[in-house]
Amino acid sequence: MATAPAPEIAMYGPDRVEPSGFNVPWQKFMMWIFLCSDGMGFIGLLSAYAMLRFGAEMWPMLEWFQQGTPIYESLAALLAKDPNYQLLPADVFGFWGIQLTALNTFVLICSSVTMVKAYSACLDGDQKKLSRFLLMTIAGGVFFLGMQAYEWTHLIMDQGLNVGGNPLGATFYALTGFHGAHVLSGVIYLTFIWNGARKGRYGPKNAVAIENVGLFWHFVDLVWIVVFTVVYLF
Amino acid sequence: MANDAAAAIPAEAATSGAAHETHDHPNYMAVFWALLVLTVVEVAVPYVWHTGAIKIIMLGGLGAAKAGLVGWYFMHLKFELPNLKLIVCVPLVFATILALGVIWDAGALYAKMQAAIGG
Repeated sequence: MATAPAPEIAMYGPDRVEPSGFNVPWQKFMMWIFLCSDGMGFIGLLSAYAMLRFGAEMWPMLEWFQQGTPIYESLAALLAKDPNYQLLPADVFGFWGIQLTALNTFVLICSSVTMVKAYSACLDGDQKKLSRFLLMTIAGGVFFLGMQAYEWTHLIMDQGLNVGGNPLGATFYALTGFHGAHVLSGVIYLTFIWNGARKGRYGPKNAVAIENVGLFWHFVDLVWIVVFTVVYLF
Repeated sequence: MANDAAAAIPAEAATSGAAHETHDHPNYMAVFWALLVLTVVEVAVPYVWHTGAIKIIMLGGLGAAKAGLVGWYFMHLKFELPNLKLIVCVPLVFATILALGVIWDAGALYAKMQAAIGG
C-alpha cells in the first residue's frame, strides 16, 4: 500500500483534523468507541427484558394489571374467549398501537436516509442541500418524539399501563424511554450542527462533523429497529 | 509510536472525510426500500404466527437484517478498513453471546421451577 507522510493539519478550530492511526479521523474513531459502549448499555437493558420475559409464565399476565383498567378488561376478554390463549405485548398495545409504532419506525428510517443525503451533500459542498436534509432529519426526530409522547400518554392515562406492579410496564418504559432520550440528544446535536451548516461552516474538508452526527443518528435508528422488534412484535 | 502510526496513514485518508471520498456512495434509496419492505413483512409476522419458533426465527432474522443494513450501508461500515470493523463488531458479538447465555439461563431456571411445582 502506498503511504505518504501525514498532510499539514489544523490543530485548532472547526477544521481541526488529526489522523488516528486507524485510517479514520480521531473524532470518528472516538464516536465509534462511544457507540460501542452505548450499545453495551442497550444490550444490558434488552438482556434484562429478555431474562424477565423468558422467566415468566406468560408475558403479560392478567394479574399484573389493576382490575377495572381498560388493559385488564381487554386481556380478560381475550382469556374468557379462549382460556388457553397466549397473551402477548401486542394485546396490550393493540392493533393501532402497533401500526402507529410501525409508522414511527418508518419515519425514523426515512430520517436516516435524509441524514446520509445530508452527508453526501456535505461531501459535494452543496450547502443548501446539506442544510435542507439536516432540517428534514431533525423534523423526523421531532415527529418520532411527538408520537412517543402521544403513545406514552395514551398508555398511562387511558389504558392504565404503569411502571409499578408489572414487569411489562417497567421494561417497556425503561427501554423506550432510554431510547427516546437518545433521540432527544440526537435532535439537539443535529440542531447545533444544522445551525452551523446554514452559516456555511461545513464542507468536504470537515465533513467528519456531519459524518459523526450521522453515525449517532443511524445508531439511534439501529437500536430502535431492535427495540421495536423485541418489545412490540415478539 | 502514535506519530509513527500517523505517518503510515495514506495521505488521502488522513484528512477528515477523505476516506469516504475514495468510494462511490451506496444506493441509499435501494437500502431504504429494502428496509421498508422488511419492516412491512416484520409487522405482518405476528399476525401470521401468533407464537412459536417460526415467529421468533422470522422476527430475529428480519430485525438482524434491518440492523445490518443500517450499520453496513448508512453507517458506512462496508467501506471501513478491517481494523475498525473488528473494533466495532467483536465486543458487540461477545456482548450478544453473553446476553443469549443469560436468556438461556433464565429459560432453564423457569423450566426447573415449573418442574419443581409440577407445572
